[in-house]
Amino acid sequence: MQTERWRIVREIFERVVDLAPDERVATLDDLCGDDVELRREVESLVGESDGAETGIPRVIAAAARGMIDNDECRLVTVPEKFGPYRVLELLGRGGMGSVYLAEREDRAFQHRVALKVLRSGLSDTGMEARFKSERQILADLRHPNIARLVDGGTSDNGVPYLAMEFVDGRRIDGWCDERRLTIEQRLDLFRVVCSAVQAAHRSLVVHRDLKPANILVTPDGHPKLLDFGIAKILGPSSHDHTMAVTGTLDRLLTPAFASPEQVDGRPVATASDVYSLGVVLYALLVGTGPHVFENSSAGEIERVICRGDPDRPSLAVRRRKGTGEGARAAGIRRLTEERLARRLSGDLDVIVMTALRKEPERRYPSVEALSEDLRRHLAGLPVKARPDTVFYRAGKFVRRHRASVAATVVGVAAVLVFGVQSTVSARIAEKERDRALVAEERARVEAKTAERVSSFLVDLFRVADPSESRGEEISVRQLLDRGAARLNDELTDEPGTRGRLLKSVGEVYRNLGEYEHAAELLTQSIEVLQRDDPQSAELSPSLNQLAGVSIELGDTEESHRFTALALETARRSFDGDHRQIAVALNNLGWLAREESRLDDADRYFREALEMRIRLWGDEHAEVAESLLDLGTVALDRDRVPEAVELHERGYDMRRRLLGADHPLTISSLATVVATLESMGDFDRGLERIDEVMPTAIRILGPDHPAVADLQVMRGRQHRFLGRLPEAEAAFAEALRIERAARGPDHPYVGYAKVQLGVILTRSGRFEEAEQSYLEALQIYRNAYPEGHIYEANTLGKLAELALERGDGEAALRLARRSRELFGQLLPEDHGELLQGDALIGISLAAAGRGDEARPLLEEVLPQIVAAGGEDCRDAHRIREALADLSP
Amino acid sequence: MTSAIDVTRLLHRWREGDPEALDELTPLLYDELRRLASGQLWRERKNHTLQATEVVHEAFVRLIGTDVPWQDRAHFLAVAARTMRRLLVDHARGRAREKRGGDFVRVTLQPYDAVIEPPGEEILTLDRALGALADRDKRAAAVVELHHFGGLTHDEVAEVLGISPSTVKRDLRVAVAWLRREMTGTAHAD
Repeated sequence: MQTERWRIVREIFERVVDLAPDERVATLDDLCGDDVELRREVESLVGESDGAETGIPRVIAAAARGMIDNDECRLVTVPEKFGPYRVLELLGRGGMGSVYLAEREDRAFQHRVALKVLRSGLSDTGMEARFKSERQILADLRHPNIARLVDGGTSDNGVPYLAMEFVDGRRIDGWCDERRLTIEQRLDLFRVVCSAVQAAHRSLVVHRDLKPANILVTPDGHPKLLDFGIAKILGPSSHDHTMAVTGTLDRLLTPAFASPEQVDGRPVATASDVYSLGVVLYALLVGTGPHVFENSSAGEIERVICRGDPDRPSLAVRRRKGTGEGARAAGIRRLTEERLARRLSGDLDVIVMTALRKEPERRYPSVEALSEDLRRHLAGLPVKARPDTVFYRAGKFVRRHRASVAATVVGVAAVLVFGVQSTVSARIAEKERDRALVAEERARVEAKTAERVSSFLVDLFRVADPSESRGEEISVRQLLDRGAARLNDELTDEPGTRGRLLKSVGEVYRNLGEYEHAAELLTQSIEVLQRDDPQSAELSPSLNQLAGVSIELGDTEESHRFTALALETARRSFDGDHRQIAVALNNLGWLAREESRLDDADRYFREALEMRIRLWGDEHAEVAESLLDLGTVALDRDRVPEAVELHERGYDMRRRLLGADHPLTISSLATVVATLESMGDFDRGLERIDEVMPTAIRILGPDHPAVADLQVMRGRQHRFLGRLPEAEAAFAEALRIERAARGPDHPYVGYAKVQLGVILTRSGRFEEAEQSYLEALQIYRNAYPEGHIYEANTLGKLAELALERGDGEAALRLARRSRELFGQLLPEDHGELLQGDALIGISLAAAGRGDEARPLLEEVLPQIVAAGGEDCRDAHRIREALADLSP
Repeated sequence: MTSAIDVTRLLHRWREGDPEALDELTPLLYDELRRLASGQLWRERKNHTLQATEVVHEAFVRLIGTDVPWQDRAHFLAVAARTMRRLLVDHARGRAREKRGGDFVRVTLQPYDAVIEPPGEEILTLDRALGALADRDKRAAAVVELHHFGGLTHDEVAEVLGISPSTVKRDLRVAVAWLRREMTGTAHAD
């Protein structure tokens, strides 16, 4: 008998369980339709069927085992004697059994011991034999920080016991908390623990059950490790595969600290101790363990340890910010929550997560290596561990709207505004690693006083940088202007310092969007440095900054000059891979993109990305930047899935490394939104923008160009959703800011005007629209050489306007010119060209040239439908036009 | 004391359609299984990994002997499977009662420090879940019981229930998924 409902669920389950995920989704759509409950039911079953099939046999075997155990005698009262030992008191009970304080009956040795009496069912007759063979090894294990295994045997009742050196101490986590030890102090203590474990490993003894309860600290601050090698004695075989085979997880003594291979029942080696130490370290730093278990079933343990993805320490701290627990944990470590998170991010995150890797061979090769990296971190040296690469899957989506050229401009603008290359803020992100480099740089400055002055000033300006202060109330410009003025007069006898400071200040101006000022200062910086030492390596960063600013200013000729010069200088100053070379390459990429040389742009960005990965590994603020750059180019080339993937990777990386409220993170979000727009997901794009807008205004100020970019994007989304008044308001605001920030002739102002023009057209305000477009055209023609892509775009818009006004001839002229320009700049299969053809066709029809119109329209229609769907706007218009033609 | 001959005779009677034979058979089996499971037999074996199914198979060997027609074995094991399940559940229930005397340490205060509760009681959850499954799909529940408690192979299960081995496989697959879900508490109300 099967209930009806169950029968349906079963059938669907059987049909979809073996399908690939894509097919499965589609089939579920067909079969479940609107029935959300049904779908969820099936999906949850599919989810469960993925796992290893060990759940049920394990439960049964455990029950069976339990049945055996029960018939052995269980200790109900505290016994008096165990072999030659007399029990003094009960120290505690744990999973393994009970622990008693005892001393030898015959008082032969005055030592007190800790007697571990094993819970019935955990031992079997083989134990004694195993103990004998292990005993010698363990007895030889003498180390000041390891509690010795003294003796072992069976009591008269046949109950086995182990006698160990008694340690009067407190668990390491409790000890650290009670004394409110700082992170550094905890690390120092932890390293002592590591040396003890390493000593044992050298004697080929693996602990297998490292956890805070096994690491005690004596009153004078010496750690002592307990229960070394005990687990092996208890385990019935030298391969420990009992756990998986029978699922007797009750032998797995402390799951929270067990390594994946222990849970899985695979062979255990020193790497398992590395893992367990990683968990202990995590707990000492964060205050909780890395894993969260929902229940204590074996299945859950396996799921969490073998397949789970723990938060890295700094993220765990951030997640619980604002809770009592979080505040308490931070306070105990003598830090605020935010400080704790920052302290842990970077090196410590990487070190801990390396030790916690699921695959033993990817962890530290030895406990010593782990300890060494901690030492390096404490000494301010670069650590050896490298973060994990994270992979993202591009989601499945349906393209309904093609990326219009203009959409990408805004993304670019937003990114450019915050500084394409490494800013002061990005440096903060990898400050830990560069500590050594900074120290070297500083050493170059000769006079002590000059060094102090320069440090002071640089720090002063760091506070003024919005990305560092994150929105605190400081009058940035006042500080900057004052600083810039001072630099004019001061430090004239220290050109190196002065040049560097000028560059820093220039950089901050750039971050604020004050490009003119920035250019001034950067030029000054270069002059000063060059005069002092034309070969100075300091020139490279300044040149790179200037090159970037010139691109942002829209100054094409200068851009070419500076980017070329910057790359040359960087290559000359540094051998092989260097950050400045990567930055220079990146700038070249931007310039190429401005000029629609998309292949070149891609090439430059890729080169920069590869260099950056070589320099810093997969996870780094600058790597994120390169990913986003590549994503933007991908979008330009109409490769939307690729663009989505790159953007999301870059954005997520920035979020992880810099935090969600960092300006760079915000700007990359803008890029993500641009991609969403091309996918037609306007609502979600609007959501994302509105998420980010208040933060952007708060941190950057309402007149920051980035805010303008966000407004433009907002306007576009509103426009696509048909909300013209909102769109107009957004564009108007954008225009205001752009004009103020960049000057009335800046190309971005032109862009805003175009957007406004579209709204005005839709609202029927044709005169105003035309005015706007023409102004935009003028700006573009001034800024760029003839035939720039923005010009082509604007001409297209003018053509649309003409159509609205019923002027077919004008429309045709404009449409043709626009299409011609696009054709010169874009690859043949680009969607923009298709739309251009459609526009020409419609214009021909409007101009009364039906014979020419019809074939073109009929040719173009299926392609348009294939690209944008049956119901896309262009398809409608074409059909309308065709309908009008046939009488 | 039970003898192999008694059991075989009872089995034959059952197959020939005598329902009472089953009633007589079950308590015999129960005792034998219990004895086997708790007995010295297991402790003597080194490196022994205990499975309920091994207990059942061992009982079969002792009670009936190895050269018995395949069909008989399968049917015996079917009864044994059901009995075994009862046995394990009864035992766990008993233990659960005792435990409330506070002898074992449950999950300790600090979550990351938790020591695993010996999962002897999970069998009760499984038993309940299996019962719930039987309400929806009797056959699938029977398949699970035969395969997991009785240790029958797919073919043997098929023989006992009179279905095809591929049906057995399909039943197992969906049943196990469902049971896992039930047991980890992620199921939503049906």
